[in-house]
Amino acid sequence: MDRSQLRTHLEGLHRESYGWALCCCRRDAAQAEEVLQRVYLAVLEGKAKYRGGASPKTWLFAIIRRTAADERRRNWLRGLRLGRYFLRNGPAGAEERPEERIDRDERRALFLVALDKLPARQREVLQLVFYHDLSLSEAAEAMDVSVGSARTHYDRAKQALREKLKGTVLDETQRGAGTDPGALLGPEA
Amino acid sequence: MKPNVEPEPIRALFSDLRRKDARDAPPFDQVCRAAPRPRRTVPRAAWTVAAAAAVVLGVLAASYLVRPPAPPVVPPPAVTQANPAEPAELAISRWHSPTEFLLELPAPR
Repeated sequence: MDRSQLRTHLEGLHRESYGWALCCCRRDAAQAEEVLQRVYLAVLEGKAKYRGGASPKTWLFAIIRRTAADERRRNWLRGLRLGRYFLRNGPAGAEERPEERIDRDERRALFLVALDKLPARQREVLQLVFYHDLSLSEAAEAMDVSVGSARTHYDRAKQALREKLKGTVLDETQRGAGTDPGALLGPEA
Repeated sequence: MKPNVEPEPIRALFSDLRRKDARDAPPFDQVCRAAPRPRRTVPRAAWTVAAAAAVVLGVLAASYLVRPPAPPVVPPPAVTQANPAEPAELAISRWHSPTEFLLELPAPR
């Protein structure tokens, strides 16, 4: 692939890559953008080369994951700032509100907080499977773990997330899904 | 190998998140065009190393200042070594046993 082809390919996967970078950076948008920038530069300058094997998307996701981990190690203080962000914007007082008043943004915030409490591997496998529609074997490749390990993380993550969301977001979403699958996503869906 | 796909509320939540992220994603050209930000890690690392070096130097200086004065150096006693070239002077010992008189006095009868 020459540079223009690579660029086209990266552009086609840009939104997916951004979503995955956000997951790898614990929803820190600035850091995700920085990670993507480093990844794109590495790919376009030929420092990261696709050698076949995995699908190009899985290959790109693996690079993003590694770059994000590298970035995280360098900027560990950002985690403290993110923790403060969640303290400020977390579900404070959500239990006191009636369920019908939980709108989409609040539901999303609750979901993100629950997601953030999961271990990194569990969060990543859920994101890859549900968000990016990857198979478990593809997710395992992107995460650089065995398929068995990915399945274990996947099962535990679903279980943990269900427990964390029980009684709040999940019930609300399930009710919406039971009547009209698109309704729970709101008018933007 | 697809995982079991039941009507997952979790999937719906992720779909919602995906839509939001797609809206918020910066344009591809912007990410590609933007110059890499100057890394703050190098100055931070330099500061860390400098701080660690300062701490080590401080500890060394403090231990040097606080250390009790060393005891005066006493030269070791001179050891006279026998010169193997000169034979030792022969002498008869003048030592007397405290019970030597018993050998000279007659024994009580």
